Amino acid sequence: MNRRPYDATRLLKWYPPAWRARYGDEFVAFVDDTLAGERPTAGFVFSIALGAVRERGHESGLVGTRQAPTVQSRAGALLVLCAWSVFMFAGASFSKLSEHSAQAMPAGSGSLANVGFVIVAFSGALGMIVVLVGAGVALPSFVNFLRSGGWQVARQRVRLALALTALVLAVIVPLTLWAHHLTSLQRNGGDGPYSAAFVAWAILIALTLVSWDCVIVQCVAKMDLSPRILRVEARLAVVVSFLMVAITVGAACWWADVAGNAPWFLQGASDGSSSSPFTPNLIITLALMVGASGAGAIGVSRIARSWSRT
Amino acid sequence: MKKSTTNEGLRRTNDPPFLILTSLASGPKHGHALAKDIAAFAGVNLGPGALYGAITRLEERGLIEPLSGVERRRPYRITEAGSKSLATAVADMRRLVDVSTARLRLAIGGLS
Repeated sequence: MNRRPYDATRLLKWYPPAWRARYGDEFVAFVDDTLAGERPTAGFVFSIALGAVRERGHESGLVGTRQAPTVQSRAGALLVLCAWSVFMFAGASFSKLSEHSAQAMPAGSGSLANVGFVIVAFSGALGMIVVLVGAGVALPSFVNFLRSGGWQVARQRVRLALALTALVLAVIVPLTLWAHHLTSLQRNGGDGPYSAAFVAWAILIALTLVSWDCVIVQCVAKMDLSPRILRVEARLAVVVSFLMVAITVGAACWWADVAGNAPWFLQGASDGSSSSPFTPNLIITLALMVGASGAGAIGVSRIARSWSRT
Repeated sequence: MKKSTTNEGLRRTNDPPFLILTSLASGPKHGHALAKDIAAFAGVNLGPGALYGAITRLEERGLIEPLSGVERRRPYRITEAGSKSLATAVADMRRLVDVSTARLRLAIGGLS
């Protein structure tokens, strides 16, 4: 039986449109010549995927110096904003995990955990305010963008994001009613069906945040932002990035103190029992915070580089 | 990109832009011919992402330029700026090789 020749144009779709227009034909010819009718290896496909990510980074202004400093600065600020949305998710998870931790700590201990918790709460609230100020500063430009045909560009993604948001909100009521019938232990992993529903809801929230991120990136990339607004947004992004680092440090301090003095709390076990302080939920939460802080730092480095070029 | 190593695990140069400029120094080539030539003279198999990423950057910097294509294949040639850039890189490498060679002689002399 003859196998169909491999369709290299599928791999080309990962690259940005402008790159495809310039290099697409010769790239497909190169892939066809190299494969000579064979299927590509995983390494070959990975090389193309990596190259496509790199080219998208160059085109957006996140990598290299091809783009103007204003584009670099805008890309850096957008990256910080996307990292902040990851932080919102991780912060909600941390808030749930650390609920009632102060009562679980033995008398005379927990000062570091308290300090860590206050840093997380204060920095989180401040971060939200800064993000809202940033949104307010960009609002007139956003309205202009919508009036000049932007709605046609963004409407599909906005509709998807709105539908996901409505679904998230609709699920809150039955989930809360269900939780009221359960004990604290059942709510924290003791009840299988409830835990599965909660995880599904958390995934839905994550998808909703990603869909709104896509809307914001698509709109902001096409919006006409004055140099003054860009400078303000870039400075706010730097502040948010520092706050993300502060939140991560605060959460790590809280974890370290609770792990040392009341590790059973992290496992939801009875007081004084021998427990590991390493729980999957907390590890994932801290990993998200560290990853988002790293992404924020990359965004700030792009902003700093754009400033050094102007 | 598969990296070439010596028996002792020390890497030879495998910087894609350097390899592409070196290949084009002997005449214009299209993507597949470039990859085959580089594999032959340097023992480095450049993956498609690395090869075309480097071609894109070199063209942006004006170090190579495209020629009119044959069917879908578009050959590239090294520009004057590319030749100068390659000459500078080779001179830097030669200085490094000279130092390594001199110190290696010294080390062998010290051992004997």
